[in-house]
Amino acid sequence: MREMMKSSIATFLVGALAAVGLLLPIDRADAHHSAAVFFDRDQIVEIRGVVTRWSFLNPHPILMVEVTDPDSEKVEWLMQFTNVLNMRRLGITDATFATGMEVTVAGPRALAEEIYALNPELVVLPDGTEIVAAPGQGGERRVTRPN
Amino acid sequence: MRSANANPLRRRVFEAAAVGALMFVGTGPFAANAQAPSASSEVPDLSGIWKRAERREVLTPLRLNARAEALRGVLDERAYPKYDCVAATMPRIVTDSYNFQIQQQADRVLLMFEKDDVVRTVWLEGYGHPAPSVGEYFLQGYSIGRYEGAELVVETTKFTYDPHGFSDGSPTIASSQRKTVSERYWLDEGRLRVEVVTEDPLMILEPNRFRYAWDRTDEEWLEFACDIENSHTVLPFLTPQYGVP
Repeated sequence: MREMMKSSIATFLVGALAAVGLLLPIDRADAHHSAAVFFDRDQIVEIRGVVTRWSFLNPHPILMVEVTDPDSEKVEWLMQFTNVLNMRRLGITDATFATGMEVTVAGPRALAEEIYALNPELVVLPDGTEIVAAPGQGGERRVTRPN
Repeated sequence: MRSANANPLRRRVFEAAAVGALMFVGTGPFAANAQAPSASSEVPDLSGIWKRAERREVLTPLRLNARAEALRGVLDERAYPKYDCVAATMPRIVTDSYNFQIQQQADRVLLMFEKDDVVRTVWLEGYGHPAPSVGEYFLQGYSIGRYEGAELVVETTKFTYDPHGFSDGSPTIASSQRKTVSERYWLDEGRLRVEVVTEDPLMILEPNRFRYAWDRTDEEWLEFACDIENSHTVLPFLTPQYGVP
Protein backbone atom coordinates (compact mmCIF):
# COMPACT_ATOMS: atom_id res chain seq x y z
CA MET A 1 0.00 0.00 0.00
CA ARG A 2 2.78 2.36 1.05
CA GLU A 3 4.71 1.52 -2.09
CA MET A 4 1.64 2.20 -4.20
CA MET A 5 1.15 5.57 -2.54
CA LYS A 6 4.83 6.37 -2.96
CA SER A 7 4.66 5.44 -6.62
CA SER A 8 1.55 7.55 -7.12
CA ILE A 9 3.11 10.54 -5.43
CA ALA A 10 6.24 10.16 -7.54
CA THR A 11 4.24 9.91 -10.71
CA PHE A 12 2.23 12.97 -9.75
CA LEU A 13 5.29 14.98 -8.80
CA VAL A 14 7.20 14.18 -11.95
CA GLY A 15 4.13 14.85 -14.01
CA ALA A 16 3.54 18.16 -12.28
CA LEU A 17 7.13 19.26 -12.68
CA ALA A 18 7.11 18.25 -16.32
CA ALA A 19 3.95 20.27 -16.79
CA VAL A 20 5.64 23.41 -15.56
CA GLY A 21 8.63 22.81 -17.74
CA LEU A 22 11.11 21.80 -15.08
CA LEU A 23 11.39 18.21 -16.24
CA LEU A 24 11.32 16.51 -19.57
CA PRO A 25 11.03 12.72 -19.62
CA ILE A 26 13.63 10.93 -21.68
CA ASP A 27 14.43 7.34 -22.55
CA ARG A 28 14.90 4.90 -19.76
CA ALA A 29 18.56 4.03 -19.45
CA ASP A 30 20.27 0.69 -18.94
CA ALA A 31 18.79 -0.89 -15.83
CA HIS A 32 21.70 -3.28 -15.43
CA HIS A 33 23.94 -0.63 -13.94
CA SER A 34 24.64 -1.16 -10.24
CA ALA A 35 21.83 0.21 -8.10
CA ALA A 36 22.33 3.83 -7.11
CA VAL A 37 21.92 4.83 -3.52
CA PHE A 38 19.59 7.73 -3.97
CA PHE A 39 18.42 7.61 -7.53
CA ASP A 40 15.51 6.01 -9.30
CA ARG A 41 16.43 4.70 -12.71
CA ASP A 42 12.74 4.56 -13.55
CA GLN A 43 12.57 8.35 -13.31
CA ILE A 44 15.01 9.75 -15.85
CA VAL A 45 14.56 13.52 -16.04
CA GLU A 46 16.16 16.51 -17.73
CA ILE A 47 16.58 19.97 -16.26
CA ARG A 48 17.91 23.28 -17.55
CA GLY A 49 19.42 25.87 -15.26
CA VAL A 50 22.36 27.96 -14.15
CA VAL A 51 25.40 26.60 -12.30
CA THR A 52 25.73 27.99 -8.78
CA ARG A 53 28.49 25.68 -7.55
CA TRP A 54 30.88 23.09 -8.96
CA SER A 55 32.80 20.98 -6.48
CA PHE A 56 35.10 18.57 -8.31
CA LEU A 57 35.93 16.49 -5.27
CA ASN A 58 35.35 12.93 -4.10
CA PRO A 59 33.50 10.91 -3.01
CA HIS A 60 31.09 12.42 -5.54
CA PRO A 61 31.58 15.64 -7.48
CA ILE A 62 28.69 18.02 -6.88
CA LEU A 63 27.13 20.45 -9.34
CA MET A 64 24.47 22.77 -8.00
CA VAL A 65 22.09 24.12 -10.62
CA GLU A 66 19.44 26.76 -10.08
CA VAL A 67 16.33 26.10 -12.12
CA THR A 68 13.74 28.81 -12.69
CA ASP A 69 10.17 27.70 -13.27
CA PRO A 70 7.61 29.61 -15.37
CA ASP A 71 6.45 31.53 -12.26
CA SER A 72 10.01 32.75 -11.72
CA GLU A 73 10.37 30.53 -8.67
CA LYS A 74 13.92 29.29 -8.24
CA VAL A 75 14.72 25.73 -7.22
CA GLU A 76 18.24 24.54 -6.53
CA TRP A 77 19.01 21.06 -7.77
CA LEU A 78 21.88 18.91 -6.55
CA MET A 79 23.69 16.92 -9.22
CA GLN A 80 25.72 14.09 -7.74
CA PHE A 81 28.20 12.62 -10.22
CA THR A 82 30.08 9.32 -10.03
CA ASN A 83 33.60 10.14 -8.87
CA VAL A 84 36.55 12.36 -9.77
CA LEU A 85 38.71 9.49 -11.02
CA ASN A 86 36.31 8.22 -13.66
CA MET A 87 35.42 11.76 -14.68
CA ARG A 88 39.05 12.82 -15.08
CA ARG A 89 39.52 9.86 -17.39
CA LEU A 90 36.57 11.17 -19.39
CA GLY A 91 38.28 14.53 -19.71
CA ILE A 92 36.17 16.37 -17.13
CA THR A 93 38.06 18.79 -14.89
CA ASP A 94 37.41 21.37 -12.21
CA ALA A 95 37.22 23.92 -15.05
CA THR A 96 34.49 22.11 -16.97
CA PHE A 97 31.73 24.09 -15.25
CA ALA A 98 31.74 27.67 -14.07
CA THR A 99 29.32 29.63 -11.91
CA GLY A 100 26.70 31.29 -14.08
CA MET A 101 27.04 28.78 -16.92
CA GLU A 102 23.74 27.53 -18.33
CA VAL A 103 23.58 23.76 -18.56
CA THR A 104 21.13 21.03 -19.39
CA VAL A 105 21.45 17.88 -17.31
CA ALA A 106 19.77 14.50 -17.65
CA GLY A 107 19.76 11.41 -15.46
CA PRO A 108 17.83 9.47 -12.81
CA ARG A 109 16.25 11.69 -10.18
CA ALA A 110 16.27 11.20 -6.41
CA LEU A 111 14.21 8.39 -4.94
CA ALA A 112 12.72 10.72 -2.36
CA GLU A 113 10.12 12.76 -4.17
CA GLU A 114 10.63 15.88 -2.08
CA ILE A 115 14.31 16.07 -2.95
CA TYR A 116 15.58 17.97 -5.97
CA ALA A 117 18.58 15.91 -6.92
CA LEU A 118 19.68 13.79 -9.82
CA ASN A 119 22.55 11.58 -10.92
CA PRO A 120 23.81 13.15 -14.15
CA GLU A 121 24.50 10.86 -17.06
CA LEU A 122 24.44 13.52 -19.75
CA VAL A 123 25.32 17.22 -19.48
CA VAL A 124 24.99 19.71 -22.32
CA LEU A 125 27.17 22.83 -22.20
CA PRO A 126 26.14 26.24 -23.62
CA ASP A 127 28.00 25.56 -26.89
CA GLY A 128 26.11 22.31 -27.38
CA THR A 129 28.95 20.07 -26.26
CA GLU A 130 27.53 16.90 -24.72
CA ILE A 131 29.35 15.30 -21.83
CA VAL A 132 28.53 11.65 -21.18
CA ALA A 133 29.26 11.75 -17.46
CA ALA A 134 28.33 8.16 -16.64
CA PRO A 135 28.82 5.88 -19.62
CA GLY A 136 27.77 2.24 -19.57
CA GLN A 137 30.09 -0.71 -19.08
CA GLY A 138 31.34 -0.54 -22.65
CA GLY A 139 31.70 3.24 -22.63
CA GLU A 140 28.37 3.64 -24.38
CA ARG A 141 26.03 6.56 -23.87
CA ARG A 142 23.12 5.56 -21.64
CA VAL A 143 20.77 8.51 -21.91
CA THR A 144 19.05 9.82 -25.02
CA ARG A 145 17.81 13.41 -25.13
CA PRO A 146 14.33 14.18 -26.38
CA ASN A 147 14.04 15.69 -29.86
CA MET B 1 48.05 -16.83 13.03
CA ARG B 2 50.46 -16.84 15.95
CA SER B 3 49.17 -16.39 19.45
CA ALA B 4 48.58 -12.90 20.68
CA ASN B 5 51.29 -11.07 22.51
CA ALA B 6 49.74 -9.41 25.53
CA ASN B 7 52.97 -7.78 26.80
CA PRO B 8 53.25 -4.30 25.24
CA LEU B 9 57.00 -3.94 25.93
CA ARG B 10 57.78 -7.34 24.51
CA ARG B 11 55.58 -6.50 21.56
CA ARG B 12 57.42 -3.22 20.92
CA VAL B 13 60.81 -4.95 21.12
CA PHE B 14 59.55 -7.54 18.69
CA GLU B 15 58.24 -4.87 16.31
CA ALA B 16 61.56 -2.99 16.51
CA ALA B 17 63.41 -6.18 15.72
CA ALA B 18 61.12 -6.82 12.80
CA VAL B 19 61.69 -3.30 11.48
CA GLY B 20 65.44 -3.73 11.88
CA ALA B 21 65.31 -6.99 10.02
CA LEU B 22 63.33 -5.38 7.24
CA MET B 23 65.85 -2.53 7.01
CA PHE B 24 68.59 -5.10 6.66
CA VAL B 25 66.60 -6.97 4.06
CA GLY B 26 66.03 -3.67 2.29
CA THR B 27 69.74 -3.38 1.54
CA GLY B 28 70.29 -6.96 0.55
CA PRO B 29 69.37 -9.23 -2.29
CA PHE B 30 65.72 -9.23 -1.19
CA ALA B 31 65.43 -5.45 -1.34
CA ALA B 32 62.02 -4.00 -0.58
CA ASN B 33 60.00 -3.14 -3.66
CA ALA B 34 61.60 -6.06 -5.42
CA GLN B 35 59.18 -7.58 -7.85
CA ALA B 36 58.23 -11.21 -7.79
CA PRO B 37 61.13 -13.56 -8.27
CA SER B 38 61.98 -14.60 -11.78
CA ALA B 39 59.99 -17.06 -13.81
CA SER B 40 62.11 -19.87 -12.52
CA SER B 41 60.30 -19.68 -9.17
CA GLU B 42 56.69 -20.50 -8.35
CA VAL B 43 55.79 -16.90 -7.49
CA PRO B 44 53.48 -15.37 -10.12
CA ASP B 45 54.11 -11.81 -11.27
CA LEU B 46 50.90 -10.09 -10.23
CA SER B 47 52.42 -6.65 -9.79
CA GLY B 48 50.98 -3.74 -11.70
CA ILE B 49 47.86 -1.64 -12.15
CA TRP B 50 44.70 -3.51 -13.06
CA LYS B 51 41.40 -2.38 -14.56
CA ARG B 52 38.08 -4.17 -14.25
CA ALA B 53 37.59 -6.66 -17.08
CA GLU B 54 34.44 -8.55 -16.13
CA ARG B 55 31.43 -8.21 -13.92
CA ARG B 56 31.45 -10.06 -10.63
CA GLU B 57 30.63 -13.74 -11.04
CA VAL B 58 28.63 -14.85 -8.03
CA LEU B 59 29.30 -18.45 -7.07
CA THR B 60 27.31 -18.48 -3.81
CA PRO B 61 25.00 -15.52 -3.21
CA LEU B 62 25.00 -13.47 -0.05
CA ARG B 63 22.36 -14.91 2.27
CA LEU B 64 21.71 -12.72 5.29
CA ASN B 65 20.53 -14.09 8.61
CA ALA B 66 17.74 -12.47 10.61
CA ARG B 67 20.16 -10.26 12.53
CA ALA B 68 21.67 -8.80 9.39
CA GLU B 69 18.25 -8.27 7.88
CA ALA B 70 17.07 -6.46 11.00
CA LEU B 71 20.14 -4.23 11.03
CA ARG B 72 19.40 -3.13 7.49
CA GLY B 73 16.14 -1.68 8.67
CA VAL B 74 17.38 0.24 11.69
CA LEU B 75 20.63 1.74 10.45
CA ASP B 76 20.13 5.42 9.71
CA GLU B 77 21.62 6.45 6.38
CA ARG B 78 22.76 9.78 7.80
CA ALA B 79 24.96 7.83 10.21
CA TYR B 80 26.68 5.71 7.59
CA PRO B 81 30.45 6.05 8.10
CA LYS B 82 31.06 6.52 4.38
CA TYR B 83 29.67 10.06 4.59
CA ASP B 84 32.67 10.84 6.77
CA CYS B 85 34.99 9.27 4.21
CA VAL B 86 35.46 6.05 6.15
CA ALA B 87 36.86 3.64 3.59
CA ALA B 88 35.10 0.63 2.15
CA THR B 89 36.34 -2.80 3.17
CA MET B 90 36.55 -6.33 1.84
CA PRO B 91 34.70 -7.92 0.20
CA ARG B 92 32.78 -4.87 -1.04
CA ILE B 93 35.78 -2.80 -2.10
CA VAL B 94 37.30 -5.33 -4.48
CA THR B 95 34.34 -5.31 -6.86
CA ASP B 96 33.88 -1.58 -7.07
CA SER B 97 34.85 -0.37 -10.53
CA TYR B 98 38.01 1.48 -9.58
CA ASN B 99 41.51 0.50 -10.61
CA PHE B 100 43.39 -1.94 -8.44
CA GLN B 101 47.13 -2.31 -7.92
CA ILE B 102 49.35 -5.06 -6.58
CA GLN B 103 52.90 -4.50 -5.38
CA GLN B 104 54.82 -7.65 -4.55
CA GLN B 105 57.66 -7.12 -2.15
CA ALA B 106 60.04 -9.57 -0.57
CA ASP B 107 58.16 -10.10 2.65
CA ARG B 108 54.75 -8.61 1.95
CA VAL B 109 52.25 -7.79 -0.75
CA LEU B 110 50.44 -4.47 -1.03
CA LEU B 111 46.88 -4.57 -2.36
CA MET B 112 45.98 -1.03 -3.35
CA PHE B 113 42.61 0.34 -4.31
CA GLU B 114 41.98 3.67 -6.01
CA LYS B 115 38.66 3.69 -4.20
CA ASP B 116 39.11 5.45 -0.90
CA ASP B 117 42.93 5.31 -1.28
CA VAL B 118 42.94 2.00 0.55
CA VAL B 119 46.24 0.15 0.93
CA ARG B 120 46.06 -3.30 2.45
CA THR B 121 49.28 -4.93 3.60
CA VAL B 122 49.45 -8.69 3.27
CA TRP B 123 52.13 -10.03 5.57
CA LEU B 124 53.72 -13.02 3.91
CA GLU B 125 54.17 -16.02 6.16
CA GLY B 126 57.63 -17.03 7.24
CA TYR B 127 59.07 -13.57 7.89
CA GLY B 128 58.31 -13.29 11.59
CA HIS B 129 55.86 -10.44 11.26
CA PRO B 130 54.21 -9.62 14.59
CA ALA B 131 50.59 -10.59 14.90
CA PRO B 132 47.99 -8.31 16.47
CA SER B 133 47.06 -8.78 20.08
CA VAL B 134 43.72 -10.17 21.18
CA GLY B 135 42.03 -6.79 21.42
CA GLU B 136 43.39 -5.28 18.22
CA TYR B 137 40.96 -5.01 15.32
CA PHE B 138 41.33 -3.00 12.14
CA LEU B 139 39.02 -1.45 9.56
CA GLN B 140 40.75 -3.42 6.77
CA GLY B 141 41.45 -6.39 9.01
CA TYR B 142 44.75 -8.18 9.46
CA SER B 143 45.98 -10.04 6.39
CA ILE B 144 48.50 -12.82 6.05
CA GLY B 145 49.46 -14.43 2.78
CA ARG B 146 51.44 -17.06 0.97
CA TYR B 147 52.08 -18.28 -2.53
CA GLU B 148 50.61 -21.64 -3.37
CA GLY B 149 51.93 -22.67 -6.73
CA ALA B 150 50.86 -19.94 -9.14
CA GLU B 151 48.36 -18.41 -6.71
CA LEU B 152 48.62 -15.71 -4.10
CA VAL B 153 46.47 -16.72 -1.14
CA VAL B 154 45.38 -14.04 1.32
CA GLU B 155 43.49 -14.64 4.54
CA THR B 156 42.10 -11.70 6.48
CA THR B 157 40.66 -11.64 9.98
CA LYS B 158 40.23 -9.11 12.79
CA PHE B 159 37.97 -6.66 11.01
CA THR B 160 36.16 -4.10 13.10
CA TYR B 161 32.37 -4.12 12.94
CA ASP B 162 31.48 -2.33 9.72
CA PRO B 163 27.99 -0.96 9.03
CA HIS B 164 28.66 -1.32 5.31
CA GLY B 165 30.99 -4.29 5.39
CA PHE B 166 29.04 -6.29 2.83
CA SER B 167 27.39 -3.50 0.89
CA ASP B 168 27.56 0.28 0.93
CA GLY B 169 24.38 0.64 -1.06
CA SER B 170 21.24 1.82 0.66
CA PRO B 171 20.34 0.23 2.97
CA THR B 172 23.79 -1.08 3.75
CA ILE B 173 24.65 -4.60 4.85
CA ALA B 174 26.81 -4.76 7.95
CA SER B 175 29.62 -7.18 8.72
CA SER B 176 30.85 -8.16 12.13
CA GLN B 177 34.20 -8.55 13.87
CA ARG B 178 33.98 -12.24 13.06
CA LYS B 179 34.10 -11.65 9.32
CA THR B 180 36.88 -13.55 7.59
CA VAL B 181 37.87 -13.15 3.95
CA SER B 182 39.92 -15.56 1.85
CA GLU B 183 41.26 -14.42 -1.52
CA ARG B 184 43.04 -16.41 -4.22
CA TYR B 185 44.67 -14.43 -7.02
CA TRP B 186 46.00 -16.01 -10.19
CA LEU B 187 46.79 -15.16 -13.80
CA ASP B 188 44.68 -16.55 -16.59
CA GLU B 189 46.33 -15.76 -19.93
CA GLY B 190 47.34 -12.35 -18.66
CA ARG B 191 44.02 -11.62 -16.99
CA LEU B 192 44.14 -11.31 -13.20
CA ARG B 193 41.43 -13.27 -11.46
CA VAL B 194 40.43 -13.54 -7.84
CA GLU B 195 38.08 -15.81 -5.99
CA VAL B 196 36.82 -14.37 -2.73
CA VAL B 197 35.17 -16.35 0.04
CA THR B 198 33.69 -14.42 2.93
CA GLU B 199 32.35 -15.91 6.13
CA ASP B 200 30.61 -14.12 8.95
CA PRO B 201 28.67 -16.34 11.35
CA LEU B 202 27.03 -13.29 12.94
CA MET B 203 25.58 -11.97 9.69
CA ILE B 204 25.35 -14.51 6.88
CA LEU B 205 23.97 -18.03 6.63
CA GLU B 206 26.70 -19.55 4.50
CA PRO B 207 30.01 -18.51 2.96
CA ASN B 208 29.63 -15.95 0.19
CA ARG B 209 31.76 -16.73 -2.87
CA PHE B 210 32.42 -14.75 -6.00
CA ARG B 211 35.02 -14.20 -8.70
CA TYR B 212 36.26 -11.02 -10.28
CA ALA B 213 38.74 -10.18 -13.04
CA TRP B 214 40.98 -7.37 -14.24
CA ASP B 215 43.24 -6.64 -17.20
CA ARG B 216 46.48 -4.72 -17.01
CA THR B 217 46.19 -1.02 -17.75
CA ASP B 218 48.64 1.77 -18.38
CA GLU B 219 46.27 4.32 -16.87
CA GLU B 220 47.80 6.71 -14.37
CA TRP B 221 47.19 5.78 -10.74
CA LEU B 222 44.99 8.48 -9.28
CA GLU B 223 44.46 9.67 -5.75
CA PHE B 224 40.91 9.40 -4.45
CA ALA B 225 41.28 12.16 -1.84
CA CYS B 226 37.84 11.95 -0.29
CA ASP B 227 36.68 15.37 0.90
CA ILE B 228 34.54 15.25 4.02
CA GLU B 229 32.94 18.65 3.48
CA ASN B 230 31.98 17.73 -0.04
CA SER B 231 30.63 14.40 1.18
CA HIS B 232 28.49 16.18 3.76
CA THR B 233 26.87 18.22 0.99
CA VAL B 234 24.61 15.26 0.39
CA LEU B 235 23.40 14.90 3.97
CA PRO B 236 20.62 17.53 3.83
CA PHE B 237 19.25 15.64 0.87
CA LEU B 238 18.80 12.45 2.90
CA THR B 239 15.48 11.93 4.63
CA PRO B 240 16.17 11.64 8.39
CA GLN B 241 15.10 8.27 9.72
CA TYR B 242 14.84 9.31 13.37
CA GLY B 243 14.11 12.99 13.16
CA VAL B 244 17.62 14.02 14.15
CA PRO B 245 20.39 15.45 11.94
